Amino acid sequence: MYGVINKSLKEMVIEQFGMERWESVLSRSGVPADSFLSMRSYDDERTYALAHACADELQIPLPDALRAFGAHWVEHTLDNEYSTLVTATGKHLVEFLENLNTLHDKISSTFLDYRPPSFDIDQASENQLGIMYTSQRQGLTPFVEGLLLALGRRFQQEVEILSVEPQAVTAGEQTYFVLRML
Amino acid sequence: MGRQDTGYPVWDDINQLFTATFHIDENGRILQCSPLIERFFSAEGALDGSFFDLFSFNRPSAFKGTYGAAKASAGKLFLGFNEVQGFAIRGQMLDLSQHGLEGLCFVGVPWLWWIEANNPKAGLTLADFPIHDVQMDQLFFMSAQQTMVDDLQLVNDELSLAQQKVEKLSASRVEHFRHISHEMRTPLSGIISALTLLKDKQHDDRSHELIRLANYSASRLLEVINYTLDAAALDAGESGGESEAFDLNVMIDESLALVQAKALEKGIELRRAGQQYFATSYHGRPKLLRQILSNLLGNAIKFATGGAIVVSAQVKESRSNDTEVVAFSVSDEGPGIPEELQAKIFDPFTTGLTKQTESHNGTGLGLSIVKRFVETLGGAIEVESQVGRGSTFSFELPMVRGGKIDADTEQTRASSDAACRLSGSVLIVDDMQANLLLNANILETLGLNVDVASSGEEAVHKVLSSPDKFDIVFMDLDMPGIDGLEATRQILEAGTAQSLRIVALSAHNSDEDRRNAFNSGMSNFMVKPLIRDAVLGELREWLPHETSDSSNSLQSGRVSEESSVTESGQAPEILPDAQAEQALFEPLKVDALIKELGLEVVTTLVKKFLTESAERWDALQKGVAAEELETISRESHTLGSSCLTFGIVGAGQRFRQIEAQVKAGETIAMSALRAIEQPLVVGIQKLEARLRDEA
Repeated sequence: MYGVINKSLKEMVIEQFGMERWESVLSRSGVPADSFLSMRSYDDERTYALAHACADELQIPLPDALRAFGAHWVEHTLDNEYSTLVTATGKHLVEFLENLNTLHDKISSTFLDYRPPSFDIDQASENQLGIMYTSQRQGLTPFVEGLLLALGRRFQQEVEILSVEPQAVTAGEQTYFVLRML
Repeated sequence: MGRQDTGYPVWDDINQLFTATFHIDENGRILQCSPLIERFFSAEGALDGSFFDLFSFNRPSAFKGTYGAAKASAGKLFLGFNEVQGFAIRGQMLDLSQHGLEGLCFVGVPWLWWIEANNPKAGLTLADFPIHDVQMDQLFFMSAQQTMVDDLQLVNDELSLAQQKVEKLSASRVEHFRHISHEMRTPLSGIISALTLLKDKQHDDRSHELIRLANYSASRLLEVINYTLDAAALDAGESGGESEAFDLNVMIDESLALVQAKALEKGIELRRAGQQYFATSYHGRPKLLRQILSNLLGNAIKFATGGAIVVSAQVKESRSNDTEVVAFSVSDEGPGIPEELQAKIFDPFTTGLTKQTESHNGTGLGLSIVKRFVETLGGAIEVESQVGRGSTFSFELPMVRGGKIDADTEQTRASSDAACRLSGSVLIVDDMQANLLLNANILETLGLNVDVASSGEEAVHKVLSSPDKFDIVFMDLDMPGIDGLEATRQILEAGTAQSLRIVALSAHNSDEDRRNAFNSGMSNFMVKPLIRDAVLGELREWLPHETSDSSNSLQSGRVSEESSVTESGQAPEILPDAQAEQALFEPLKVDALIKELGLEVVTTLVKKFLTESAERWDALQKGVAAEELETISRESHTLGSSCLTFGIVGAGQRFRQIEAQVKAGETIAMSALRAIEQPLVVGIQKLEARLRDEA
């Protein structure tokens, strides 16, 4: 994963729990250094190790840690460092989600080892949105949950996740989310 | 105006590929446009006018804004903007007449950079750009690049912070090492002083061996402590002595003189290579260079069992700005260093020990510190060695020329230190009683009246209450209460002890300590533990000293120049015979050697000297006959050094004169050698007589 993910995780722990806790997380993870360059690709194992260490250190279940991280990713990293792109991707939640694959496609043309997830949207009904999340990576569904709820807040669209349905896939991970727009 | 079907057959296709499109007629009137354009120019009548009135163009260059100019510029990049609407386009013109149609077709996209700069709230999204357009990619790329720059700045800040922490930690560690080393050296100075005194007493063989062992162990421990202090000083960025002018010839000779006795003891010939004489002085850090040469020479003597040790120094390259590169080397004919050890011979605690040489059992620190000193002076050291053939350590240093050497500065100081007895009163100040008493004992053996003070306060009191009593004060710097610096200030500020000299005495040896000592008014700085010869060398500069058994007259290094002429302007009268005798042979030199090495060893050395000097005398004569300058220089140097070592000063000085003449390019006549014969023979006879007397 790109360093921006690890960097964001580090920022979240430091902002919410302080530098000492982060140093404990880093120590637990076995990751040798915590100076991450945003657009440099790092081994996925490093990110997973940090996430697990974070859950252990904070004594919370890993999915909860990932949900919190998903929210932090939207509210801090995207809004602070990539706000122009977020704005250009959509003016409201649905438009944003519909354009997300296009954004990822464009990023892939610049960053050659970028392996983004895909989000395929279907309007299940007037107030419900179906999202098929597909990733080459495993275990990040809770992260997407936190991310979707935070995006709703970002676009001032209150949402509720009605269902999270893991799909049977041979590799990676696929999950079907149903969101209710309130 | 609204969209109307103009019958342009590929209009829909064009609008799949581009999001900012116009179909205009020959009057510039907009016949058709894309949905995005209609969205931005939705006000009534906004699109009713001419396309060329709707936008201002800064590309193509010098574009006139007419249909004809646009048609002529088909294929060029068009950049147009409407400041009122905060919208801009980029694209190109298609000339439809080529397809039998009316007008021009503008195909393009929103000009993202202009809109971002002038109307950032325009609300453009990805959907407003064709998928192939790279402007959004550029925007993301630039955001990412900016993030990377921010990241690198952050990493840079983190590294700077980490470096500061490491430096602080390192400084603390260095200070800790220095403190520990100091605490170790202070009691060790007491041990070494006690052993020095014990060595001179009569002992049975067992006790003598134990004292020798204790002395050896203490010396090794002192070596380790000195290494730690030297390394700590270098780690702390201390330069290792102030930069000053020095005579390289003298320095090399001094370095050789320091180890000459040891070399003689082992039957090793010690000499400088060929005709290497520096006609200029240098500016640099002689303290470091002297230590480098001394360590390399000491190391060579330690491991060699015979043969010669040759020191070479010659200018390798002259650069601008008065800089020369001087190449140094120290070669020995010792056991050599196995190839596998050569790569790490400069690592701390590595020695070139083999089964044949392991009895020497060095600490393995000397070469490590030599390497660091050489690097500090801007050079690099290397070794070439062959087992069974010997080793050569060589290094090159950039050195700044200082000026012509005054011929009168030739050093002779080392010649008679060991034979000297002093006259005068000294005060030793030290809060450690053992050091105080032992150092007092050493100074008393030099013939001095010694008083002691165990604190700064006591020292100030003793000096000021009897201002004329003391000639020199040895002042410890680190004492509780008034320290040595403050005591010195108080004494000097009182102004009553006008001729008093105060010498700093400290276990520390840092540049800062030296600066502090000199700034407080001290005359010199000595490192504990006190070494007898070093003290002597210091004191004989300032105190009257006795130089010969026979004359019993007192001379002073400082006063002699003034008092050697009487009030009437006449030189003091010295009996011709005594003067002549003294000029040929100085028995105290031999006495000092006997005291240091023992009669048996010195007798053996003298025998060896006599054998070798006969051979060298022959070689010298042949060299003079054949006018072989290198031979004359080498043999006269070796003969001169050996003669001076054994007190045969008359011949020794004349050999030195010959050496200097050769170096100055003068030829040597055989008559010059004949003039040495008599003083040489007489000197040897007196040397042998002295040994017989001692026996």
